[in-house]
Amino acid sequence: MTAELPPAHAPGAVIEARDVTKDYRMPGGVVRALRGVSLDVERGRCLAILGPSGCGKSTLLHVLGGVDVPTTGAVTALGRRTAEMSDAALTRLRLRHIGFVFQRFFLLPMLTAEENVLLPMIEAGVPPGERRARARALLARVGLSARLRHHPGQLSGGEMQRVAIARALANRPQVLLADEPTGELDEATGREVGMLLREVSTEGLAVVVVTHNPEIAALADRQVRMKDGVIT
Amino acid sequence: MCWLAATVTAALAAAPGLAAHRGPEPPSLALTDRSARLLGVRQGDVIEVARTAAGPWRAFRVAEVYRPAEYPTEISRTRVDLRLHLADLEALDGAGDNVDSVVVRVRAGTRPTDVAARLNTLPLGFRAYTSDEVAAQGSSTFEVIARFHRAISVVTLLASSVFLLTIMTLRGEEMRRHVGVMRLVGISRRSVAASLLLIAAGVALAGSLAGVGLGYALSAAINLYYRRLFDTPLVFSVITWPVLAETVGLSVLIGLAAGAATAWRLLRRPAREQLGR
Repeated sequence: MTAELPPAHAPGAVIEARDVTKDYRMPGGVVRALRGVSLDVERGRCLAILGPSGCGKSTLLHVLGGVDVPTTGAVTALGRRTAEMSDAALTRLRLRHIGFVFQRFFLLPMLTAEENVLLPMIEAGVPPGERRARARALLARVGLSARLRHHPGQLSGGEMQRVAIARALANRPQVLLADEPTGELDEATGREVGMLLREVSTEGLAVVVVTHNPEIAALADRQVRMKDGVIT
Repeated sequence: MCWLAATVTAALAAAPGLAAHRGPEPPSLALTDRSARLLGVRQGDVIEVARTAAGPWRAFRVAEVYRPAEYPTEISRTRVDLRLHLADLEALDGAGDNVDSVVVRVRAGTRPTDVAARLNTLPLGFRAYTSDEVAAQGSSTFEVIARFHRAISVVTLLASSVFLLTIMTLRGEEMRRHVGVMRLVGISRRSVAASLLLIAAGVALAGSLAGVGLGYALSAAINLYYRRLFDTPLVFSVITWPVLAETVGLSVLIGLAAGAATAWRLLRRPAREQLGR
């Protein structure tokens, strides 16, 4: 068990990025994916990051979520610099405070919808009765009460993404990071998922959505555009 | 009734036609069931026996057909075993009092090795062996076969280990993305490694249990076939508890090793790489 992390040092900002660069060593040489990005992710606000493929949106999301650490600059997540945190501490940060939603849903196919939502709570040590009740409540909230026992293969794309959102919210995180959450969905379903993310942000979560889709971006409180690793 | 065993290889005439033997009742003998089948005679028939093919032939009535204790070394032999009364055997052999081996049964609580050692100090002109020594002399072939079996089992275990590793590698590749997802949602390396070990041990246990089932089925088939082939109640294939424990234990250990290798390979890569990012 870990101690609760201290609150963000700036009012409203749960994650702060300052002059962040991120380099990847590739066979052809070093690729700079982020070039001096500064950004605040604020509680209760939905932020959309737009930009063409390869501009560094997903890299920024990973750096904000503690999946990667910056090469230079600083990311402060809930008051702690991610570059100074161990791998185990970053893992705990993601488990308890940051929820992820992916374009391809990435649900575990051998588990049911309910079990997928239960998984992060089991790791976090939530008592069995409470986690089951919470999983059911979350799945009910995303409109999937009747799909608890269904495996991902038995669900539509929109349903899978809603299960993924329920999973991301399971440990009551402070931040929800969504990487192209509507990329694999039709227009109507994508809009529903976008509305759901918007709704979540109004309840006090910080939501960051990386998207190509201007319609989804329009649902956000704030939009930033990226090009070649820079916020324009 | 007491019979003496004799092996008659050169001169034996099956003469069921003599069942209606005239004259004085011939002496009796006992035949093993296999010998009776070989000769085509039954209890009550009269057969003629001679020491050599040149004769003289003597008639005997088959008083008993019995099933002897079977020995693995003798199952493929096609010789005819007769048991005659000592007087008849001596008369047939013409050699008078002539014994080439004697079996001594020791009292309960007496150590056969002590008796054999004591007998060997006596100047009787023979050598005493314990039944264990006799068995060891007669089972040298089986010891060689057992060594072959051990070698085969080692090769089989090695092959199955490679197979298991291959399965785990393939499963590991299949699970690469799942591991990446688990890491991203905050599942610790330890939990992921534990789940991979559990899966590997489960695969190994299921595989070894299936192997045990297959082993029992094959063992039963082998016994059925060779018992019929050699017409014997001998057991040719046995799966013992120690063998079972060793097999299942080794499989699970190999599975855990394969799981550990897979976990190490998957968990040393960053989560985002496992998701193909």
